[in-house]
Parts: sequence; structure tokens; C-alpha cells
Amino acid sequence: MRVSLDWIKEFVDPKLPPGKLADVLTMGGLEVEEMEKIGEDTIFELGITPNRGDCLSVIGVAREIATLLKRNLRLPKEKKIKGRGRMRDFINVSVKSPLACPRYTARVIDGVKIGPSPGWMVRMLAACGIRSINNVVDATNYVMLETNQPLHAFDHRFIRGKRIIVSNPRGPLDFVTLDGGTQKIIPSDLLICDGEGPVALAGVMGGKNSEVSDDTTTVVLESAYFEPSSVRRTARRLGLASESSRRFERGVDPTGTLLALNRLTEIILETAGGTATADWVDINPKKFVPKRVKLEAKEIGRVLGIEIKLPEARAILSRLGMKCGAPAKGAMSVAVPAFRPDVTRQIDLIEELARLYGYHRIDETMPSATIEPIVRPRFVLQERAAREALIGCGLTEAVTMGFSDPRDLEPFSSFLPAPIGITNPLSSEESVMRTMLLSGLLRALAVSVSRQRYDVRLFTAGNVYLRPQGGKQEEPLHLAGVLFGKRRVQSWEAAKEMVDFYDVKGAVEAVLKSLGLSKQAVWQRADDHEFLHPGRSAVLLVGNRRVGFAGQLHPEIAAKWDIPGECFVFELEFENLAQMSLTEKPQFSELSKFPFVERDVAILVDDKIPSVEVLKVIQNSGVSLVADVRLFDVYRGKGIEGGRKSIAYTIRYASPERTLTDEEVNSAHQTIVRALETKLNAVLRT
Amino acid sequence: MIEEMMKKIEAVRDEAMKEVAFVSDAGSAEKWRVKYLGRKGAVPALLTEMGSLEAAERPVIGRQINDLKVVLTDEIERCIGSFAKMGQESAIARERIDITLPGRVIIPGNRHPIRQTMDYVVDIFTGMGFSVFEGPEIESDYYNFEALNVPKDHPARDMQDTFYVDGDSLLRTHTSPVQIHVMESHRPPVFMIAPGAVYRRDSDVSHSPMFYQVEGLMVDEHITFKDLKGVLTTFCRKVFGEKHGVRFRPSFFPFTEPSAEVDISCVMCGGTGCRVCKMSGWMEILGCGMVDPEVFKAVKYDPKKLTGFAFGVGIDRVAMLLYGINDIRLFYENDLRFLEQF
Ligand SMILES: [Zn+2]
Repeated sequence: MRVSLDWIKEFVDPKLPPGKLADVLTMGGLEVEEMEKIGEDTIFELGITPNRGDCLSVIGVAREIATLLKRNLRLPKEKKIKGRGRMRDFINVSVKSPLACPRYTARVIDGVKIGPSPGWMVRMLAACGIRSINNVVDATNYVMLETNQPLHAFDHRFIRGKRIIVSNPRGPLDFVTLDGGTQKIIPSDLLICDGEGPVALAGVMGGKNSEVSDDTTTVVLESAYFEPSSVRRTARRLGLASESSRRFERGVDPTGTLLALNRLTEIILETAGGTATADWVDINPKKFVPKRVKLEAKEIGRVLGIEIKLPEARAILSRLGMKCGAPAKGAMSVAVPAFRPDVTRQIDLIEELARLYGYHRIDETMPSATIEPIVRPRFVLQERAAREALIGCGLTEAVTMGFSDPRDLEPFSSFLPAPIGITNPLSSEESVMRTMLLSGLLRALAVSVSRQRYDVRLFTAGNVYLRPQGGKQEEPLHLAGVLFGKRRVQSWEAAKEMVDFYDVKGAVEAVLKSLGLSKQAVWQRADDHEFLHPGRSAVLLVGNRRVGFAGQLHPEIAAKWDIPGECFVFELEFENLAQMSLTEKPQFSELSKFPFVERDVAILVDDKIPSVEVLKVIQNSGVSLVADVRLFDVYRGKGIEGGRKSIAYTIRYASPERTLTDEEVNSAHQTIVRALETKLNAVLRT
Repeated sequence: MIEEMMKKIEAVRDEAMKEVAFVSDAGSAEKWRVKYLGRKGAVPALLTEMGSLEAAERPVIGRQINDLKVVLTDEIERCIGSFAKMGQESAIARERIDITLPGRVIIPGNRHPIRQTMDYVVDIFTGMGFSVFEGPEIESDYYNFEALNVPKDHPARDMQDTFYVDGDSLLRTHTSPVQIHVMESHRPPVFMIAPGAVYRRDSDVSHSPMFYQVEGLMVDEHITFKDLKGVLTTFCRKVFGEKHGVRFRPSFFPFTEPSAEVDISCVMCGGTGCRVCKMSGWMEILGCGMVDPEVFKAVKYDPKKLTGFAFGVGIDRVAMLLYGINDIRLFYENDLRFLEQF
């Protein structure tokens, strides 16, 4: 809220320069967010917390300053206004919804002359960010800013049947408010009606049909107390937050209703002339009873950790206008003034004590507590290990939005449940929750490419949001990556090499290794993932369960993202993967004391035979001396018949018990070569 | 006779030593060796001539010839050795590379600044004995608001503009709902933090519709506002440096009372006042307060026995201050030129 220091000074003298005063307010809980000098005046931009509705007024802020600085508050003198004529000759007022409207006051001024407001008022309103309209409307705003009580003026000509009825409508209806909007009213909205229909949306906004205009001569002034939650419901539903609704929602002073009406009358008579009625209407069936709250000395210590004795507490609370009873048996009763509806409980009093005692005067201690082992979420350590593994492979970590553009998920739709939609998104690009991470990474890749970056390797770990049809909503953790462009852009030897399937597979293998799952992984062709290149993609199985995929993004989809070239991607269901890594610690096996012997074997086989089949034949040939098998060459082309490939392995033979003889090794190697020849129709290359 | 023989030995030695000076490679060394030490060489020839000596003279001359053999063998081996060394040296001398070419490494990727900051903050709290819990991002209104003392139709709801998903669900506006889940399922004492993504309907240089938070809760008997100040001052100093100014000022959150905002002295100007801190010398870093008794009631904890404090730190904000980043949206754009700086 914007508030003028000159105006504040009408009610309290801070005796401090503006900068110092701003510090005092900020440290007292009314944060001065900004200061602006306008001529001799200083404007404070205050961040008023929702509990301090009373400080949405100049007097409220002045009262706070008086409290914080121990100064005197000078409230405006109440003037008795003598008038002429009776209310009942002008209007009849009744309240039919007393729960939503506990108090309603009104007075009529006849013979006003609508015109511009005096300069001092225009200046004060402008300082607080309110545009001047005319002398009557400005007076309602001026008194609202001063007292916190929202006020309204109706043109008496347009009050049909000369009646005002505060009530809820029986059924839905349309109503045009001052801003020109047509509002859909429902029975829970409180209305100010005349003999025929609504003339104002209670506490929110007046109606177009009873607006004060240049030729208005008689005004009906309204000052009321409307129930906070009722005003809020209506204002929220209609999206009609106003200066008035903001104050009613936070609770205005129920004892200040008539005071504000008198003040408004006084000011209009001064700025627009006319004659007020001799009497006024004040419908106030339930008189306000101040709330009494018990304050115990030991409770102050239990919460704050410091001792504030009751006499000291009494002195502090009295500055806030609280009336404290005499302390007895370590407790006292505190009567809360009507302008502080936020104070209803003992803890609210303790907060006020702490605030005025000064947070800075409360010591710092470290809590004494029993040491207990801490708990972490499942898989946190595995997630860190996997992220480190990918960083080690040269992938950079991205963090993408939880939202997604539904069009970005389209290519993957046959593979995923329908995304969860957001009812009130900021834009259509962020209108659903992501069901996979990859789409966000592709967007990041597209951004990099559009900024002339042609080597991109990114990964991200994050939740996806799934609500499978008929299933339970879940937010599993996924891990995904994207590789594009030059494989080793920093390398001067291989600067032109491009990433391929084996780079993305290698990254996933690094993750598997970090989880201790290298041996359990099985790769299969991904023939049912239509968003992947059918010949260059694979699904990953661990323990017979599909846990993700890796491969080249289908060129048609890459083109949709404007990715100029082959793009390799992976996405893993990380939780399912990490779950399987929770096995026992690896067990040590003795280091061999005997030397090993290595023999190479190079064979020609049909190109369609996957390398893993060759490996299986070697490993399952019945030779127990095989300690390790390592692929060192795959070759197709010149010198090799079409449809065949050359594939070569180094086989290591060893025994943990003895040194092997040449004969043993030769015979073992022969057995393997023969197995390759018979099972794979392989031809030994020499 | 013996003198004649001695002269012959001297002559062979002189000649051999003279010639060895001309030995310059393996070939000439071999020629020299054959000439003097070979089967038909000069030294074996001397031995055969010994037959004409008297028996008593033979050992004397024999020793002399043997000595000569040793001397010449040593000489030629030294010679050959020096050729090998020279050869190797010249080969090494030829093996020159360009040491200014870049090294051959796999350059690791970079950690995202938000994740780095998150790990850093989480580690500070786990180091102080806080457990870590997570919870769903799509939450019910009850856990996000009502159980935290934010009833429907309460103005405090305006503090956090909310995204709704179908039904009664919403995207959590803070990670405080995790506190409710944990208190519902655990007996006190509870020392916990809840890291994670949160969502608010807001987007500009300092607001992202999704951002990261760590919220914390410490509940036990005898936890006071003094402890809140102690733990959170320690945290601020661990993150921003031991000498950093920290201040607590009154504020309002529906789920804590008394509530406070914590400011640290401005990381840009050190507290003298600059544009970034709006000349105040301070920067807001976290919100906190003593757990409101209504929150304890919602989880069936006894507010008469227990006290506690709660706090919430915006990780994006901490990262922006630590790394001097001026636009929060950079975090989620993932431009490599940005990510590679951290
Ligand atoms: Zn600064």
C-alpha cells in the first residue's frame, strides 16, 4: 500500500527522518518496500501482510508508528453534525441478511453540488495511487484511506421505491457494476437492493444504475460492516478485487462504522456543500463485545525462550490499545480492541509481544536434542551416483519445467497415458504436466540449436506425472538424456566425428555401472517405439523388466523440432532401475597368483548375427578356462564378402590354481573356434 | 727372445689403439674386432708364436698377451656401447611433438546450478541432523492449505497464486504439505526438511511458475524462538560466509506464529546499499516462524506439550545470490552457454 508521510503526520509525529522511520517500520513488521520523494512529501510503499488489514489505512499506520516509537496518536476530532430533515422522508433501510451484514449505517445529504475536489485532497489521493473523480466519490475514498472503512455513495434519484434492502438474491441474476462489467450473481452473493433490484454488490463494488454523476443533488451514504468471508467469496468468484473488498476481507473495525460515516458526512459538506439529515440509520442488532484472551507468563517463555514478566507484557500490550487485567497466578486477561480482529488467541498476543520486544533482542541458541540417525528418501544416493556418472560421460545437467506443451508430448502419446491438465495455465505451452522428461530436453536442444550450438549433450533427472486410466496417480522419478552433433568437439584428432547410437548406449551403461547393474542389463531391439529410428534403437531390460529405451530419435520427429541431424536420446524409469540396485554388497574374490594367456580370434560371420550371440557362443562353449572376452574389431567392406562381417575377440585364458600349459590353451582355443564354426557358420580368418 | 716377443705385443697394442680411434660404427667395430681378437686375428697369432719360447718364459708372456686381450675387448665394448647411446640420443632428439596441441580428455559435463545449490543446502541441514522427506507435487487443497491453517476464503490465500488441476487437486505452492504428511505418520520429535519443486502462477525476472524450495521443521518439547534463530543464523552463515550479517524481522505466515523473514546483508554491496538491495543493504533469504498451534491440532499433536519451528528457503533465490544471476528464467531455459558457467 502507498501512503503519504505528510498525511501520517496529521495523526502522529514520528520525530525521525523518513529513512530512519522506514527502518523502524520494517523491523516492526510493516515492511517498507520502497520510498519515493514527491516534493517535500515522502511516499512509503508498504508490504502489508494479510493479518494486518488495520494497516491498510493512514490512521492504522500512524497507530503502528505511535506504538513502535512510543508517541501519542492524535485521532481526528469527532464533530457533531446538525442537520435538517429525517431519514425516513428520504429512504427506508432494512437488513435481511444479518449474518453477512452485522451492521449497516446510512445518512442522506441533500443539495450537494458535484464538482472537482479541492487540491489538497487530489494531492493526497494521488500520493496513495487513487485517481480523483469528483468531490463526493473522492470523499468516500479519502475517508476510506484515512480510517480503513470502505464507503459508498448512491445517487438518491436512482434508488427505486426509496428503499434499501441488504439481502441475498433468491436466484441467479445479472448485474452491471460500476466498471461496466456484467456480473453473474448467485444466491450466496450479498446485495444492496432497492425496491426493484440490486444497486450494489455489497462490499465489492457499486452498481452502474445508482452511480453518482455530475447532476446528482442528493446522495445516500453507506458505511457498513460486511462479513469478511462473504465478501471474499464473491470478489474471488467474480475476479473483482477492489480497494473495498480488500479491506472487508481482512476485517474492518466493527465499532468504527458510524465514526467513518460521520467523518464522510463532515467532509462532503465541506467539499460539496448540501445539508445532511438530522438523523441517520444505524442497524446494529448485536453490539460488539471485545474479545478477551488469557495470557500466561510461562507460555511466553515456552514459545520464545525468553522471560517477559507480566507487568512488562502489560506495558507492551497497552501501547497496542489492549486493555490488560491485573496479573494473577501467572496469568492475565487481555481485552483486544476492535480494530485488531487478527488477535484472537494467546499465541497472537505472544507474537505481538515478541514483535514489540524486538526480535533482535532474543538470543540465538542451538537446540538440545537427542542424536538420531537421519532418514533420506529412497534412491537419493543412487540418483546422485547416476547424475555423477552422466556428468563424467560429458553430459551437462539440465532442469526442465514440470509443465509441458501438450503438442510436445504428441509424438509419444501412444506410449504414455494422457497428461494431467492444468485448469488455469499461464499459457497453452505450459498447460499439462509432463508425462516424460524427453520432450523438455528436446525443447532445450532446439533452443541451443537455434542459438548456433551444434554439439549438445544434456541430461535431466526429475519427476513425471502419471494418472493411468483407472490407476493411481503417481510421480515417478525419471532420468533422460539427449546427445546431438559432434562427439568430441574439443578433440583436434576427431573433431568431425558425430555422436551415434553407441554414445547414447554408453551413457546408459555408465548409469547402469553406477548402480551396479551392468551384468543384469539386457538390450533388445525397440520395435514398438515408433518415435525412435527402428534400426538404431533399443529397449533396456533389467531383471526381465523394461526400464527404458535408448536410440536415435525418429528423423521425422527430429524434423518437427527443427533438429538438423541425427539426435540420440534415452529415458529411464529411474525408480524401477534403482530398486533393483538395492542388492547385497559385492563379495571379494581372491586375486589370481598365476599368469594368463591371451589368444585372438577373428571370424567371418553373417552380418545379421548380433555380436552378443558370438559372445554367448564363446562363453557357453564349455571351456572353463575363459577368464575374459574382449571385442576388439568389427569390420565390413573391402575384402569382406557382402552380407558378412569380420568380428574379432581377444580371449583370456587363466586358472586360479596353476599356470596353464601351451597345450591346454591351444586345445581350449580350438574348442571355441570349432563351436563358432559349427554354431554360427563362422569362417576363421587367418 | 723374450724381449722380441714383448716388442711384438707392444706393437699390436699400439696399432690396435691407434686404429680403434677410427672405429665409427658397428661395421668398422666388427672389422677391428676380427682383425685383432678374431680367430685369425693378431692376438691369437701372438699366442701361437709363444710355442718358440722357453718353458720358463711362457707364463710371463702368456699373462702379457691375456692382459692385452682384456684391454682390447674392453676397449671395443666401450666403443660399441657409446655408439648405441649416441644412436638412442639422436633418436630421442628427433622425437619432438607440439606440446601446445590440446590434451586428450573426456571433459565432464556441468552440474545445474539449481541442483548444486539444492545438494549444498540439503547437506548443510542433514549435517545438522535433519532427515529428508519428499512428497507429491500434485497435492490436495487440504494438505497445501487447510491443514496449514489457510482456510478457504481467507485472504492469506492471495499470498500464493495457485495452479489447479482437475478435481480438488492443485500444484503445491510450497513443500510445507510434506510436513503435514510426516507429522501424520511420525511421532515427535520431528527434525526434517522437504526439498522439491513448487509452483506459483507468476512469471517475470524474479518469479518462475516452477521453482525449488527446501522447507524444514523442528518439533519437540522445549524448542523455542531462540533455537529458530540459532539454527537459521547458522544456516545463513554456512551458505553465505561466517561474517555475513543476518537479521530477523516480524512477518506473517498462516502456519507459523510468531513469524519472521530473515535477511542477510546484501551480497552485492556488503550492506552499504545498492540498486540490487533497493538501497536497504539487506536481502530477503527465507521465511520462518514458530509452528502455529492450529497446525499441530490438524495433525493431532498436542500444542500444549510441543513447540517447533518451520522455515522455507527458495533455492533459486539462494542460487541467484551465490552466482550473481539476474534472471530466474535462465535456470529453466537450459542454454548451454549458461549451464557451462557453473
Ligand atoms: Zn546492496
